[in-house]
Amino acid sequence: MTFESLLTPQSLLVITVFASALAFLLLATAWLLGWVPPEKAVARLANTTFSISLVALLIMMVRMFRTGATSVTAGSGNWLEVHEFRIPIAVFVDLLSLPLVTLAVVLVGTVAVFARRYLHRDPGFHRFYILLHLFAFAALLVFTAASFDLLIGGWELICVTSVLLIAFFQHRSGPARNSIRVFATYRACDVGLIVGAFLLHHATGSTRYSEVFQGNWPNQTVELSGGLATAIGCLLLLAAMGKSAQVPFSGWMPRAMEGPTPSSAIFYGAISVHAGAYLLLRAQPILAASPVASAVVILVGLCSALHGTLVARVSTDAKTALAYSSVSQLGLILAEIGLGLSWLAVAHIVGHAIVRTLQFLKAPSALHEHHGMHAASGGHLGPTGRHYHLLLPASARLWLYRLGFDRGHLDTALERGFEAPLRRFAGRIRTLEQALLPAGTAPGGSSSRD
Amino acid sequence: MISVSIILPLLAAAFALRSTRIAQARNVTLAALAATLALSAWTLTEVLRGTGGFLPDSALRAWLAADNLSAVLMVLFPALALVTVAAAPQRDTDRHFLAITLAVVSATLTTYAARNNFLMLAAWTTALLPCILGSGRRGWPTLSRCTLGASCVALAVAFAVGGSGVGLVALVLAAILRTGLFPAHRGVAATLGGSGLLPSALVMNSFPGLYLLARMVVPQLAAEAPHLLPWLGVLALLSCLLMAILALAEKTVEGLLASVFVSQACALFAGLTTRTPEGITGALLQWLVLAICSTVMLSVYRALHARTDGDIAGSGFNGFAAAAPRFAVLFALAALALAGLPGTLGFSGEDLLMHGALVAHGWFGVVLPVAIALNAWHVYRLFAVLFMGEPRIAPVNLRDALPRERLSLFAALAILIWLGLVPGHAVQLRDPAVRLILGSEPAVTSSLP
Repeated sequence: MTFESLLTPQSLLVITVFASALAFLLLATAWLLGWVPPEKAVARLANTTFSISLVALLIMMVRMFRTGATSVTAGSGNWLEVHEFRIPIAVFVDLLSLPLVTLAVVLVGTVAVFARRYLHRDPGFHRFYILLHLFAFAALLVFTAASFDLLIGGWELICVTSVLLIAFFQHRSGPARNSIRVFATYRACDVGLIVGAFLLHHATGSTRYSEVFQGNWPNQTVELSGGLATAIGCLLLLAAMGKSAQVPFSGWMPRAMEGPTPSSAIFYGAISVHAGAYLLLRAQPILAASPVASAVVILVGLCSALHGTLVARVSTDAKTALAYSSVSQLGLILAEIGLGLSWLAVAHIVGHAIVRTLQFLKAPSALHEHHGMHAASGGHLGPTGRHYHLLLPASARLWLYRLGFDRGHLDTALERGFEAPLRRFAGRIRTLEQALLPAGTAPGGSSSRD
Repeated sequence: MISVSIILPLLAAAFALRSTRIAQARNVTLAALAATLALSAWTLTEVLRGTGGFLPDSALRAWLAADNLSAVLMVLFPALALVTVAAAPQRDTDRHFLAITLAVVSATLTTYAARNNFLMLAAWTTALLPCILGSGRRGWPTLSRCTLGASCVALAVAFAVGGSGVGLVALVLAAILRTGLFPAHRGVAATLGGSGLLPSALVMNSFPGLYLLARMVVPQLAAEAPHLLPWLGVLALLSCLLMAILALAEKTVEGLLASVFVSQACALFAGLTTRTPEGITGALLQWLVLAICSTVMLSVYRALHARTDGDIAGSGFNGFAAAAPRFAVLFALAALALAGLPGTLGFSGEDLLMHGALVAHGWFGVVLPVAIALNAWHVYRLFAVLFMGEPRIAPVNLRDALPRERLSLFAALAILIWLGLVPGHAVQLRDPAVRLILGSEPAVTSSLP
């Protein structure tokens, strides 16, 4: 392999995506072998990894600009092939994924630098960086996957790293309990992505973007009947709703704030929550083929935007307020996607991710900042939300306050409408089984102690 | 060579029972299992090298043989037994445990390699005898004894009657009872409990019900009553979902583990009945995943159980990660591989399995992704219950994984990771078995719109 061959756009794309995977393997193997590198070495490895990714990405972009190419594909062949089912092993970037890949590399690198001081001497320092590298690889895999099947791989890795970082402070039961809840939401919604990808495969014979869609993004089309497009669009929307914390699945967002601030910033401010929006942008030709699916996307987006802003306004801690502000903005992004405003949605994602990361990283010193601003304005910081007072009567404001304070009653509704009946059903079957079995033969009731 | 690999564990079992020094018995057991594994690996190599993919035993040609379907399992099972014995806590490692393990290995290898019905029935029954006849803490609950004993009777009836009527029904019943489909789910799940956990887990992990299904039931049903296969698949899918839902009511770690394992076994059952290359390949790959992951998870659990003298809370948090981070990582890797973690064979296996179920059953196949998602949540919940939260036992009083535990359990998981990164190898390895199960029947076409 010559140096020149390393500088082809294909090689540079592979370096960009897989550098963090290599760093993850290095750190994880070292730990398994019983060696915990010092903080300085871990931080340097992270800096080097994300610098290499960024430099490779920039050179690739320059090369693309020079040749006028709008996409780069690296890799060919199939990672898995059984009969008609194939998972191609190929990564690619086009006009949609390029901004998001750049965003991911820059923001994960920034968070890696920030976390070095934030988590200094924390017992989980090493674990955080292992998971951060795995997350970076997963996010880049989602944004560069050339097929929906490969995207599922990155998507599920994001889920795993996300819940493990929510439970980062594992010695407390709160984060552990919340990580279980978040995992449940993620997995429930992922069923939509798996079944959606299957239907797409069934309808078009492939899940590779270049074979499913005709043309280049954003002017792509798809040959699907209206009913099938609606079904696939709604299933992909379900997956996006889970990842992007849209109504009614937004309840996991404040629970996810149990993790350390750097992970909250990169997951729930910047990259992870936007993966759902990316999925819908990628599948936009399918939404365009189904007015029903587009309408549902708009409806879910607008409801989430309204819900997010209401809850954020009554939240009593900074990170929850920021989380629900993200839900609100993501709702608007989804509405833009449903309306077909692709470029606006991409710009909104980039802007929102950058601003939100900054806000999350500054959240621990929010009170200090506020005092500074208060002093600078001479003690005359104006209150926000005056339009509510102008437009709504006191009773409506009180009702909205209660609604916002209980987070739209969504958690309660999901618990009473879904979780509790399922548990009751399981308990009743268990009781019935024990009643039907002859006395003395029924197992169960044994404790863990022999 | 097949007969030697079957007799060797039996001889070692006899030695272990008579031995007065437990360390010596353990070393002999490990050596016998390693030798059996080497012989089985040699058999597999010969099967893969042979043109017909069929290798009769050189001494007992009429009785024993291996083909691709059985040869891979004949390598897997001694490997699992080796990992189990190597990682077993000292508390569990007594002469009876070693002898039972070796006897189960011998009987299971015979089940896989049997060329005639009588030998298969004898091996099928022998593998269950130690746990069915065992008393006290080594025995199974009555329900398990009845369920698995009934599977022996059903198999005996099937082989005695033969043909396509009652014989076929009895054959299907034997597979259902041994795998744990509804209504046998509770009886099979109840086997995993008490201090006979490790031998019971080995007995369950041999999956002879699935083997019977792949070897005899699917080909016979496909030839004689093809319309019944989808219904068998539907029963398996519903059983898979039922166990996943019932796991919500489990209050003990063993109960939750057993429910998840039986649910996943039902998923494999459903995959084998799809008559699609994707579904059957997925089931055969996931078979390896389930066997390895359940072995690792139960070994870790048993090691923690021994260290804490059974003081493990089934609900609430135990916080073992503070004292045993390597056990936590091993358990998490196994649990997440079972849940379909990308980068492990579980991802490819589950993807193919779900694809097969959706192709074969149309919209009803959605039951499988839902059940698998529930199971994934259960195993993560289990990981959190065991390893997260405030430590219930002071970290200084709990030892992390010993080198022998670390090495054996990680070696098992390394295979899953390696095959997960290059799943083409695993698919290629199982391809002749897939063709064997599919026979000359055409693949099912999707019933979706």
